[in-house]
Amino acid sequence: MKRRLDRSRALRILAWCVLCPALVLGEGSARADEEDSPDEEGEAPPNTVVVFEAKVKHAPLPDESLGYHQPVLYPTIPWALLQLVPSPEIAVGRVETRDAAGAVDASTRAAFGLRWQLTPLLWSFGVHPRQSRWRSFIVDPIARHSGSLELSASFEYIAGHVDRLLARPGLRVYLPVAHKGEYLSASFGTSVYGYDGVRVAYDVGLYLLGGFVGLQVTVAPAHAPLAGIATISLRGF
Amino acid sequence: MRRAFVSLLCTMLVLGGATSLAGCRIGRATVRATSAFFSSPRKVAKAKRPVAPDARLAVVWVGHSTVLVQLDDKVVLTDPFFTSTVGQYAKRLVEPGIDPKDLPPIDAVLVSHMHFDHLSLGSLSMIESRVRALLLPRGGTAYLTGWFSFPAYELGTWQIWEKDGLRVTAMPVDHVGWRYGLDAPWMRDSYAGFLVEYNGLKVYFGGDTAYDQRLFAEVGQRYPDIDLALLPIAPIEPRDIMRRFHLDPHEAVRAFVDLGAKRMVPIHYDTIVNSTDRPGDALRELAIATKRWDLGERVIAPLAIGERRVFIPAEPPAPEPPPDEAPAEPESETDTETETEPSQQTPDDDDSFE
Repeated sequence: MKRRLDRSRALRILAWCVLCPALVLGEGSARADEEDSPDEEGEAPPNTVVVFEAKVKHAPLPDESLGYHQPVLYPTIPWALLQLVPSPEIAVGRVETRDAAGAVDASTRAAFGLRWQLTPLLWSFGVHPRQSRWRSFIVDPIARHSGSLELSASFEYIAGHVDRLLARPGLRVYLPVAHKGEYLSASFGTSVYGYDGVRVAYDVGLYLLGGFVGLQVTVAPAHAPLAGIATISLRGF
Repeated sequence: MRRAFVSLLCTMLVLGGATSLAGCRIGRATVRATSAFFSSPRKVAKAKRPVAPDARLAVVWVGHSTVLVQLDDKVVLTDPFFTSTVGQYAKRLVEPGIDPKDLPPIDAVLVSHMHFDHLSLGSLSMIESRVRALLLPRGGTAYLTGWFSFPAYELGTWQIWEKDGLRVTAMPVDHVGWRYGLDAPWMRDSYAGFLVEYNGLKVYFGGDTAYDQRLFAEVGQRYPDIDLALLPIAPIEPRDIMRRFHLDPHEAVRAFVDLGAKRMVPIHYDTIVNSTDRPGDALRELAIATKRWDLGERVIAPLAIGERRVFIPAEPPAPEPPPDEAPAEPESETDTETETEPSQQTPDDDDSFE
């Protein structure tokens, strides 16, 4: 173990020994290039950006360094409290039950549930190209609903005939419909969950008010007890 | 059963009391905002030809903070808002003063901050083909999306964007930068005012701002002789809250004086329900504020939505001398008449508070 550590340390030192002179030499040659460059007017070397004189002379020259600011999203107490707000849902399905007399009941039943949703990772193809496309956990509505691919994770408790807690990882795509997704957006997704084995479900959704309110419909064609779930999605960031 | 009835009665009493006493204005404003959803916006005479060669400096008030400014051959549009609602929570009370299809190519669209009534993505979609550049405050592209075809630039305070002689500088104002509320901790400085300069003309757009004399005075010192200031005068009430974010008419007049501008057009009032103000409150207060201040030759010119006002008329073309006469005839009667005509047409005095 100690030998392995020594070897890795030696490799690191070797890498520094190679890299540092290269960086110093590179910097030096760049400076030398700058010093060697001709200063005469009209003889700008190729690849030199020629900045033309501003037409308005009574004020400072235009700031050429216009950049783009990338806000850093971080968790706050209001954000955490908002994540605790569940989305209510109604699950519809059939469970075969046998009473004491041996009669089988396989009628369709409805059950109330609550769903909490998280976004471990999201890649937005709708955000401005100068902004980062990646979000993790804290997702601004415009990044999600202007068009994105989301790795989702939801946790739900469904009472009634289901009466169990489900974890549902999945993949969902959001597409803007109106006002770049802020007024209306749609989603299509798929998820898996454990319920007497691994089950697969598919969902579609429509969202209003920047995605704060929406309706999601989840169907599991091959799983009778949770054949359909309608969720009022309440979600912020 | 009896206990349930008593608790229901208590709840109704508390709610009723809150609405009738402290929440009286709030209750009325809520009713106004809700009823707006079930009624059509008031129709206005729209500006069909918002830009014309008769002006060096002219503006059309489209409603709220949306103003089309013509500076010679350049056109600037502020905070475009043409949609029927603001973020699906407030409906507009008055139609926009210009139909988006009547807009000319716009050299620069200025967005002062991220609130839904100032950065309206739906409105930007409606005018997208006409926009040549969009200027936002620092961090503004975070809410823009990449679906627009025009270039967008972020300007920090005092930063300058310039193209073909049209120069826009971001001005410091005192407001908030968030869009949804929850984003307030990381969107702290996405708000700005703007100063537009072209061919010696200067137009100040205040966006949305609270009153801070230092800021306005500094702008006035750095940029003397501003030809026109577009300043918000509402929302006014509830003042304890609004004071921190918004100018009221009295503060707007003070800001106008601090800026040292020659003319002021009030904006940001009577277009949507965003406060407990009643329609007309802002203009009434503005008239009172105008009388309190000695404005000298300064002019405050409230516009009707859709109204086009020429503030500096275009200079008439010099008359061509007859081919057989000498070119220099400065004191001919014809010259004098053509020079005075445009100044007589200037409608500064019509509805202005002076």
